[in-house]
Parts: sequence; C-alpha cells; structure tokens
Amino acid sequence: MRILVAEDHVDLSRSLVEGLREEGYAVDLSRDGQEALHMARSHPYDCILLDIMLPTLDGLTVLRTIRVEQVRSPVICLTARDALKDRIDGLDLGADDYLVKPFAWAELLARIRAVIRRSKDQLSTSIRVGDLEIDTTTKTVRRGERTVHLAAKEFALLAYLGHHVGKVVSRSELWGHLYDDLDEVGSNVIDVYIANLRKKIDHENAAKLIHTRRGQGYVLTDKP
Amino acid sequence: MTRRIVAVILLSVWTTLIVGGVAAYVAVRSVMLDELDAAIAQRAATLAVLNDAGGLAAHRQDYPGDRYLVLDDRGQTVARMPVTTETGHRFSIVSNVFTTLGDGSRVRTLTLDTAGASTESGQPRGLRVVYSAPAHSFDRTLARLAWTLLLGGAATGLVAALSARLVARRALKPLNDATRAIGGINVDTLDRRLDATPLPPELRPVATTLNGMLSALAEAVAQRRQFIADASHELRTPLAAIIMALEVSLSRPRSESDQRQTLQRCLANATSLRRLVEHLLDRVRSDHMAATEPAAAVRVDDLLDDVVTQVTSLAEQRGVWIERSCEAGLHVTTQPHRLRSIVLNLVSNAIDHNLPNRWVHVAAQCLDSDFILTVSDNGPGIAVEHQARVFEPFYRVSPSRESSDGHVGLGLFLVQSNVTALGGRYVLESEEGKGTVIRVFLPGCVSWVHPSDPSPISTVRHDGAMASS
Repeated sequence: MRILVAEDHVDLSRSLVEGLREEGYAVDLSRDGQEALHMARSHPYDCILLDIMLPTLDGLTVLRTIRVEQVRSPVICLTARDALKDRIDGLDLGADDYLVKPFAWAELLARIRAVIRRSKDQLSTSIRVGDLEIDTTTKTVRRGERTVHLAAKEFALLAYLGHHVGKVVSRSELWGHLYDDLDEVGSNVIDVYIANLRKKIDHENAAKLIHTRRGQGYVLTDKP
Repeated sequence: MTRRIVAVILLSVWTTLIVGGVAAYVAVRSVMLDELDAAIAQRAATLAVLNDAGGLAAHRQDYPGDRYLVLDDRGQTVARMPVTTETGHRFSIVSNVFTTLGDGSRVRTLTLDTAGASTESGQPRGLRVVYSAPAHSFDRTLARLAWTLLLGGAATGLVAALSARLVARRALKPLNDATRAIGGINVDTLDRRLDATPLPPELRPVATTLNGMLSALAEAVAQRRQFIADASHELRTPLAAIIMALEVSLSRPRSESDQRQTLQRCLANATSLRRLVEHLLDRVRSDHMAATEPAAAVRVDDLLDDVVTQVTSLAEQRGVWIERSCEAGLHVTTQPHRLRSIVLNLVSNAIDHNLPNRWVHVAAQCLDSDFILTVSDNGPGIAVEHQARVFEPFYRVSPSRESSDGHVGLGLFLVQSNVTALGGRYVLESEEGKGTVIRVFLPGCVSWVHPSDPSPISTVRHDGAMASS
C-alpha cells in the first residue's frame, strides 16, 4: 500500500513517514500544497494524509481539485482545526475521514486501514481465499491451521493481491503500490517477493493460490 | 407601562367628567330651582290678587298637591289651601325650603310677604303667603340628570380607558417586539440586527445605537474566536509532533542514537510550545492589566537596561549586537507592564529575525511630549507583501510552520495590542536586504534632565557576539 503524506510540519511529517514505513507502507512525502496536488494526480495512492494548512496551496483546495479530476484515492484530512464547520467542509469536499491533531498513532493506523478497506469494497478486516486467511489489522497470515510468518513487504504484497482477489495485478502496479519514490529498487524485486510468498504459502499445500498470468501479472485465487 | 398609561388616562378622563358633571348639575339645579320658585311665587301672587278681589275664599285649587296659608298683616288667617291671574302684589321671599311631609313626599315651601301694593281701592294690604308646591318633578328631573351624568361619565371613562389601553399597546408593540428581538440575541447570534423601520421615529436612534454596539461586539467576538482557533491550531501542531514522535519511537525497539534524535525533536517542539504558552499568557495578562494597572512614571533608561540584559543571551546565541541610546532623564507616564512588553517584544523580534554579525539598535527620545521608541536593525528586512500583516496574530513571514526557529508569530501582535491600548501608534519601514525600523509613538513623555548629569545622551553597546566569541 502506498501512502502520500502532505504535511508541512518538519518533525510531524518525519515521524509520520518513519512510522508508516515501519508499518510496511510505501510513503511519499510532500511539504507543499502544489507539490502534493501534482503527486496525487500522478500516482493512484491507496491513501492520502492531507494537512489542511499547507504552504502554496491549502489542503482543501488540493482535495477539491483532485476530486474534480476524479482522483479516487481515499483522503484523510489531518488538521489542528477542530471547528465543526472545518470538519464538515473537509468531508463535503470529498475527504473520507478527518483527524484532529494531536491524534494517537494507533488511531491513525486504524483509520488508514479502514479507508483503504472501504476503497477496496472490503467489509471485514480479514481476507479469506480458500483456506488462506489474511488479517490486515494484526498483520497475521494463516493457511489452514498453519501460521505463516511474512516480512513486512511480503505481507504488503500479499495484502494487495488479497484486496484484488481474482483479479490480475501487473508487476508494475504492485511495484507502484509497494515502493515509494525513495526506494531504489527495480520492478524485478516483485518476482523475488512472489517467489518467497509461494514458498511460504503454497509450498506445503496441494491447492496453489498464487498464480502467474504470463505477460499480465499475478492473481490470488482459489479457482485456477 | 400600558397599565400606567391607562390609569393616567382613566383618572384624567374621570376627573374631567366629574368636575364637568358636578358643575352642570349645580348649574341646572340652580336654574330649575329659580324656575320652581318663580312658579310658586306666581301662584302665591295669584292668591294675593284673589284676596284683594275678595274671591280667595271661593278659590279652588288649580294645582294638585299645592298647599298654601295666607295671613293678613295682623297674623289672621285669611285663607287656607283653597283664581284669576293678575299681578299687583310685589312679594319678597322670606324663606324657601324643602320640607318632607308625613307621607314622605317632598315639597318646596316659600314664605312670601307683600308690603301691600296699591289696589283699586288704594288701600295697601299686607299679606303673608306660605305656599308649598310638590317638588317631585324637580327632584325626578335632577335625579335623572345626575344618573345620566354619572353613567355617561363612567361609560365614557371606560371607553377612554379601553382605547387608551389599545393605543398604548399598539404604540408599545414595536418596543416590545424590539425587546424580544434583543432578548433573543446571544453570543452565537451576534449577526442579528434590530429592524428600525417598524419603530416610531423617537425609538429609531436607540435601535441604531444598539445595532452599532452589536456590530462592535460581533467583531470583537469574531476576533477573539479567530485568535482562539489560531492559538489552538498553534498549540496542537507541535503537540501532535511530540506525541507522534514518541508513539512511533515507542512502537518498536530503537537504538540509543535513534531515541536521542526523537528526544531532541520532542525538546525542540516542547520549547516552541513553551514559548507560545508564554506569549499567550503574556497576552492574557496584558488584557487583564488594561483594567487594573495604574499609570506610573517609568524611567526609560532603566527599562532599556533591563530589557537589554534580558535579551543578551538570545543575542549572543544569534551572534547579534545590541546597541541602545536614550536621552538622560527621560520618563514616560504610562502602564509600565505594557511598555515593557512593547520594548521586549520589539527587541527580541528584531534579534530573532536577524542574521549573525548584524546589529539591533533600540533608541528612546522625547518629542513634544510624544515618547518615541525606535527599534532598528540591518537584518534581512521584510518583503512588502508581508509588511502589513506581520502585526496579525500567528502571522509568519515563512509560510511553513517550522518548529526549529521557534517563532510563534505573536510578538508583534502583542506590540500592536499594547500600543493601541496605550493610545499610541506605530510605523514600520523595511527594505529587503537592508533592514527594518519600527517606531512606536506613545503619549505622556517628560524629559527631566538632571543638572548634574554630564552627558545628554547615554549610549551603551552590548557586543553580544564579541563577548561570546
């Protein structure tokens, strides 16, 4: 999952980026409204954390513009203004959630998961494919009775496939959602992670869940 | 109000009617009584004429209910209650009284004397006639009159009272409506205004004044709300940074150097929070001071020394030189706390935004009883587009909320509110790359030059940067 953080406070944005990266998200940071608008247009982020008071262009204008341009990324407004009117304005302009500073880290993470889940039309926090169960909250994966231990990026890749069960996801799409602009890795890293995931999930089972569609990408499904 | 108006109108109407009614009654009664008496005298005279003609004994009564007694000048009864009409006798009325008879009927009794007018025989004959005539017609007419006046008066009074009430109500309705409208205005509905058009012309200035007051109140409340919203915004952002840094740091094991970095970031944000809180408290205090602090003569020399001492460590940190100059014996009669806040904020603001190895000059002088404080620097200056706004609360020239520089954007706002409160004014001149001059003019300056003071100007130089290096 790739997140855009648009926040101009140096220390706050640094903590957000560091924390989110540690949670396995790919994170891009912008400290300026114009730049944030440009970034939101150029990449289909899985979530955008948008501060309202940004230099050069305020967050509400960024929000209005991207919604007019049909950018569908879920947006969580982060703001220190908690007047009811501000909140209503934000939500009316197309924000999916609104968080008043200072907020708790755990709450922010839960809200990010919630808006991503909603944007992918998921009702539950866990995804089931055959006997595979992916819990996006606790970040645990079980295949039948067996608990599968995954690295952060492996989990992120599996979760992304899980959010698009039965649909073919291209390598470049996967790459785009797993890595931010700072990661200097090629898209072949995806093949490495897929190989790892197969080893950990499908190796011991007769029914394979991760499939390669030659020339198209990968798909997670129990109906081959 | 309505009740009082009704009562006053009712009272005056009834008083007028009672006085008028009584006067009318008295006048009518006296006219009627004169007529009654004249009629009785006429009948008595008839008796006298009959007596002269010697036909009195054969007289039969013309008027039912009349009684009479005719006596001659020797007191002998000539006739008793028992007819041509001719006058020759001049009667003088001896007495006229109302008497009530045994059967309860009232009669008017006149006693008349005649000195004896000339008769055909030329013999004067004195007669006394006591003549009573029933007074019931007279009484009935007067009673009817009295009742008419009384009932008519009461009815007129009531009608007057009712119409007074109606008129008063109608006249007071706009006022009542206005009162209700004013009652409905509270701190959340200060945008409402009184409609002056339905008010009578006399009350319109009241509405205009009230509306003016409401506008002023609304503006003050809006300013205060904006200030609180801005202040809470400014408080929350560094707080969010601290909480976020700590929570992220605590979410997994960290190396000592990572933890150190987190703590340093937290400290920087906490420091900027502390500064903000101090400024906010300073502002609250100076607001409070406005009402309570008495004006006093402040020795400017000492004040500048004090302030310079207080900012020396900041100046050393930034490598900025401070100079001060002040006419000797300069005194300002003003609120000391406010003046101190003005000087301190101007000087520390100039140091804060300055560059290393530049200077800040603070000077005080007296001109025509105006106290002039000049704080100048040769720092980076302020761009034209920011010059008008630097005195707004929480306004920062740098658009980003950098926590590292520690500016909260309240220093010049405090200067502005204090200068305004002291009845002064300020001027800002700035050129990018050259520096900034802020002049504050305050009333109430006196120059007490002590004769023993050798130099008219005292200049002290604080070479902050030099001392520390």
